[in-house]
Parts: sequence; C-alpha cells; structure tokens
Amino acid sequence: MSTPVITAWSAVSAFGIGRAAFDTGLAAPVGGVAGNADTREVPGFDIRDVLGPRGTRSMDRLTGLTLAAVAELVGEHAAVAEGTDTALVLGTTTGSAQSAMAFTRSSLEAERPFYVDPAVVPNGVMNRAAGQAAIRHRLIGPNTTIAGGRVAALQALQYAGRLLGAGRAGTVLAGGVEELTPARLWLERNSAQGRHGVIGEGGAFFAVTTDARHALADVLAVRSLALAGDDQEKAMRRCVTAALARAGVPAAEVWAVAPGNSTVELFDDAVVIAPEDRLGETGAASGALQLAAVLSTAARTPGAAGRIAVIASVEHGAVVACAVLRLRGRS
Amino acid sequence: MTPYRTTDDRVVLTGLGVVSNIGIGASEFAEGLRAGRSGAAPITTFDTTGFAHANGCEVTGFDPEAVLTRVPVDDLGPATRFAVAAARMAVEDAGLDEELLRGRRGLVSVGTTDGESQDLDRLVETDVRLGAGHRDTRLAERIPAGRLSSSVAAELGLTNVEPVTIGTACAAGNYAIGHGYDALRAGEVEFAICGGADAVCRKTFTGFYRLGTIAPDHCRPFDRNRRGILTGEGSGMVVMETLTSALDRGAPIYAEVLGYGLNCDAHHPVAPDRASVARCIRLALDDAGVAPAEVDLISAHGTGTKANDVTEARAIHDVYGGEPPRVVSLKSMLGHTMGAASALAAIACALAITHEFIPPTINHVETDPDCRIDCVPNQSVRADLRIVQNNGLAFGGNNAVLILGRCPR
Amino acid sequence: MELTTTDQSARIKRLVCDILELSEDEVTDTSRFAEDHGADSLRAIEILAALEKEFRIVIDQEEMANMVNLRGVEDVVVRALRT
Repeated sequence: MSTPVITAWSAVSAFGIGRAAFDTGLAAPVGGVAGNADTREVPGFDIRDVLGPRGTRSMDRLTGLTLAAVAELVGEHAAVAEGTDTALVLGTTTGSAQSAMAFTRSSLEAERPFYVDPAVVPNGVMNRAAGQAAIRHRLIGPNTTIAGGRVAALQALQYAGRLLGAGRAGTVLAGGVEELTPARLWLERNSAQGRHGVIGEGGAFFAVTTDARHALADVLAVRSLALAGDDQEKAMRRCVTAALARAGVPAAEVWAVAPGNSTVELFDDAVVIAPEDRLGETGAASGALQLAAVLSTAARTPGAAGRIAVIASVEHGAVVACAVLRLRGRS
Repeated sequence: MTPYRTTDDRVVLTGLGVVSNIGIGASEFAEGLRAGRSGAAPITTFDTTGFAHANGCEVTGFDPEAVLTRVPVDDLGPATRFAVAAARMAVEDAGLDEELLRGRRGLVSVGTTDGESQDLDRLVETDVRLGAGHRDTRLAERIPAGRLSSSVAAELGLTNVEPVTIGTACAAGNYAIGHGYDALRAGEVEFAICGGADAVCRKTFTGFYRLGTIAPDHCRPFDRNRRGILTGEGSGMVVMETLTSALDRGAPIYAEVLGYGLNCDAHHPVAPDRASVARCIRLALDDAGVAPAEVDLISAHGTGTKANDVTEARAIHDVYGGEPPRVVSLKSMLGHTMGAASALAAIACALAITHEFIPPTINHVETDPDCRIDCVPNQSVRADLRIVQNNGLAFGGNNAVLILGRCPR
Repeated sequence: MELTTTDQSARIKRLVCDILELSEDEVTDTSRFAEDHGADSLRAIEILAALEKEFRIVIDQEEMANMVNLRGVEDVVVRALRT
C-alpha cells in the first residue's frame, strides 16, 4: 500500500484554540500558557462560547475539546467533511472519568437512585466524544475510540494507517484528547506516571490520507509494544529500532525527536521537541500534541523538508509507542 | 462469490476463550447456547435498593486466581480480569505454546464499553459514604482502559505484541476482531488475540434504567412485548491467525473471518438509524465477497429494546428483501454484555458453525409483527451453517458487522 | 382534563422549555414537542425524568405516549401525583 500522509492538523491546548495559537505559543520562548502552578488548561474554554448554544446543554469538557479540535481541522481541510469514507479515530484514556463519576454520584445522592439526568447518560460512555464529532460533521465512515492513555494518540495514528491500508476509509481524522477535571487529576496524582509534575489538557487531530498531494509529512512507521514486565527503556529501544527498520531509515538520519515522557537514547544529535515542558502531561493528547509540535517546528525551520522525526510515548508500566515521520516542510 | 484469496490472505479463528454468565470456557458456553440457558438473576454487584426492578446477567463461579498465573489479580479491575482469563483460555484452546508465541509478532485488541467503570463507581461510593479522602488509591492504576489489552500481554508474557483497547461501546467486540483481521491480512502480525470485555456496573445499569430500557424481568428480543435489556458482563476472546499458519501447525479451525464492515450513523447519540445499519451490513457483505442469499444465519445485535429490534429487523429486510435468513439474539440468554457482546456473539457463531446448530432466542412468546423474522424461539435447532453474519450496534451510532464462514476442511 | 395549580403549571413549563432549549413564549399548551419543536425520543425521556425528580413522583413509561405537549404533560403529572 502507499504510505499514509498527514495533510492538515489542528490543536487545542494551553496555547489556545487552533493551529495558529499553537504555532505562536510554541514559537514563543516562555510562558503563554494558562493554568495553576501544577496544571495547564485550555484558556477560556467555555463550551457554549466556543461551540455555540445549540446541542451543548449537556456536553462535557472532553467532548467539547474534541469537537473544538475536529472543527478546527475540518476548517483547515474542508474536503474531509461530509465524505462517506471519512473516518474518525480518537485516542483517550478512559473517556470522561469525570462524567462517569458525576453520573454515579447523582444516582447515589438522589432521593431515588434513578432521579438522574438521561441527557448525560451517553457522556459516561467512552465513545461519546467520537460519536458527537461524527454527528456534528456528518462523518459516516468508521468511528473508533482507542483507549491507550499516553500512547493512545500514536495508536490512533497506527490504526488510521490500517483503515487506509484495508480500504475502509479514504481520509481518517485521527488524534487524541484529554480533559483536565477533578476526576482526571485524582487518577493522575495517584498513579506512578502522574504523581509529580504539571498536568495539562487539550487535543490535536490530523487528516491522514494516502493522497500525497498536500502532504505535510509521510507517516513511515508507527509501532506500539507491550511492556509485559520488560524494562521500559529497553522496550522503547526495541520499539524505535523496529519502527526505523520498517521506515528504512538509519538512526543517524533522525533530525528531530519528541520523546514525550519517555527516554529515547538512540539520537544524540537530534533536535529535541518537548511541548510537554510548556503544556504539561496531557494524557491521551500527549502523542498528538507532540506530533503537532513536530509539524509546527518543521514548518518554521528552514531545511526541515525531507528530514526525519521520531515521536515517542510511554503508558507507564504498560505500553511503549513511537512513530517515524518524513517531513515535507513548507508546502 | 468470494474473491480468490491465498491461504496467507485468509484469517481463521483457532482458539476460543469465554467467561460468560451461561458458562465458562468454550465447551460450557456451547452447552449453554444449545440448551438455551438464561444468565438472568437479581444483580448483586451493587446495592439495587430503590430501583423497581434490577435483574442482570452476572458471571458466577469465576475464580480469576485459578486462571491467572503471572499478574496479581488485585492489580486488575473486574473487566480486565475477565479479558485476561478469556485470553488465556483462548490461547490454551488454540493449542499454542506461550514460549512460541513470545517470539512472534502479535496484536491484542480488546473492545469495551465501560472499561473499569465498576472501579470508578467504587470511588464514588466511598466519597458518598465516608466523605472525601478515603478512596482506595490502588484503583487509580487499574482504571485506565488501556489495561484491558496491556494486561493480557502481561499475563501471557508477550513483549512483541501491540496491545490496543477499543472503546467503541457495544460494537467494540466486532471492532476488535476486525482490527485483528486487518493486521493479519496486511502481514503486520502473525497472530491476534481479540475480543471484548465488560463488568456490570451501577453507572451503566442506572443509565439504561433511566432511559426506560431495562426489562423488568427477562430480555425478550423481537417479542411483541419486549421491555428492554438486562445488563450483563463477561468476556469473549479469540485467537486468530492466517489459514497458512493454522494449516502448518495442524490447528483446529472453528471458522474463517470472511470480512467485516464499520460505519457511523452520525445521526443520533442513542437511537439507531435503519439506513445506516443497512449500509453497514452491505459494507460487511461486500468486504467478505458474500451475497445476501449465501448467508445462513444472522446473529443480531437484538438488545430487546423497542427501538433497536424493529430498526435492526427493518435494516435486515432492506438488505435481504422479503426472506432474510433466521435471526437470533444471544442477548436473550446473556443479557447485554456491552463491549463483550459482539465478541461473545462471534464466538457463539463460530461454535454454531462448528457444532452445526443455531442457538435460540429464549424468553420468546410472540414475535413482533413489525420485526417479521424467524428468531428460532426458545429451542436450538440443528443446522448446516456455511456463512453467518454477526451484528454489533452501539451508542454513538458505531456499527460493526462481522461475516464468519465455515472453513472448508 | 385534570387541573394543576398555577405554580405547578409554571414549574412544568419552565422545565420543559429548559430541556427543549426554547423560550417560554415559544411553547403553548398545545404546541407539540416533536412535530412543532423538533424534540426526539431522548428529549421526551429527559422531560419525564425531570418531572419525576421535580415532583418526587414516578411516571409509568407507558405515559410517554401522552406527553406530547404541555397539556398532556400536566395531565400525566396530576395522575402520577395521585398515586
């Protein structure tokens, strides 16, 4: 099959809403992010302000962030909407834990356990955000939610490649989204990978196709591997080595690496792109925001065209993942 | 007709693992299906005080300690325990040596609706009962839904596999099996362990109850007086490999995956859409290279709600014309096992093909004239099945239809 | 038709308008939720659920068929309050 390419992208993050805000924020030397000392949030993200009053009455933050990111992408790349073979693949950790827990709480605290709001029932199910994005943009192709935490976005990109390879979609909108809520924060703070550091939120989406005409980058290889008790650094080394082999690229040719929360030792001289230093740990959005940062950096870096970038991520104690891209640079 | 495929292009099911409310392990499950056993009983997982009725289909007699050898049971949420146990059973059933598997590249894909929502419920129950600050912090590590697939890899010691958890609600099992099919056909993996898992939880029961879709006593799909679903739980996992691989090692073959279809209604968050369901069935048949007339049995999504059954039956009529094949609903026996539902149903289809019978739609009194199908009421029947269709439809308009066939011996 | 108190009627109307995302002058006693205001089956269940909670009652699912407009809803509430 032909290599999948990324033709457009969008991001919603502590830098703001949309690609332009992300580009500006990332290029600025410091600051420019909203949040408290140990959190980063999408600034001024009020669902009704961003998405309008219709259909947003019972919407949760995860779905709101997803719809904002997808709308920005569809705006960037109008050809993807309304197509019968446009798929959507969303990376998540476990949907909106906040919505699921708030619903259970409302049942336990009500005078009768069924005095709950039926409108929010679907919010507690993991595929809510992907399904709502499909409704809003009439995306009637495959609609998949991949739950992988910090590797979810890279797994979504890998899954997108499979859908294209099998001819199940002509264009795939793939990405990852995470919300900053009390439920998420508690889960992060009580797990090894989120105990310390700054916790952020946001999301990014990519239009992935096999039509190379407007390509920003070729997706040469994506891999994810189970740790299954293996040492994390060793597993990542195996994962990256396998992906580079698949891409047919020697490690020495790698120009930039976005290591995320992982340790990737193979590239001593590569440029390090680390949006998480500014945006915080963004869970299922992390791989997507790393990829967005690589594309954003490439677009403003003379000579980036044709060079190789590696994006890596770890779901602590569970899975490692990486992607190898060839950048097309400015079009 | 089926386009010519080499044995490398053909994907077969060679191992079945089942944790269900009508039997644990593939043979007990097959007996349960043939006997038309019901998994329904009053729910015990959570306190149902205040609900006018609260039957469900919980798994009983399941001891994860007896099945799991590597991963501590306490590290896993209840849905993950089901998935890991079913995966281990499937690998054993396939006659695969774990050491051998470790050297091979594989995929583990597990579909789910709720992930570990039962654990989320527990956190909330603690908050409400004892106030803030008393939660069991050990639950935090087992709640991310990615654990459903990564724990399968951990339990089987597989470091060369890609673990993927697919959260496409009640169509997730078919999604997961389809993912394995694509990865195998692309030559990216040598084996795939795929299926779905979910555990009964207060959140989902309450949600369906509030939507008016929990049956007061039993689940009666396609019946004129059907009143809704019963929430269920369990896991079904299958081992998949290419026909070449299965023939080389002389593996037992239950069924061949002929193809599948995925689409999204993009219409309504909870109400199914007839035209879109019909389109998904056509996508699956086309992918499999199968004409409607060749299909011998449909395993319906068949939840037993007013809306689903009539919409699904009409979509089937749209594709099949006046005379569709027999259409059964396993949810009459198993309840709605959510992310496990289409995986357990796919396993039931494979067993039906292998053992030449059609599992019944139980609790049936009178077929809804608006559905106009033969749902094989109450008693299983003998049948020679060559091609079977398995429907999975979900909240969010996520549809997935799988086509299985008998593998010529 | 059963009579509800003015207060009850006002509460019912407020609740229905909130769910249907309409202002109170857009809804009359007889304008139909589905045909005139585009409400789907989920909206109808939302109305039923909100009424149950507001009036601390339980409404039989079968009553959904009667809850087509404000007048129908008021009748259903009165019946449920009596049981």
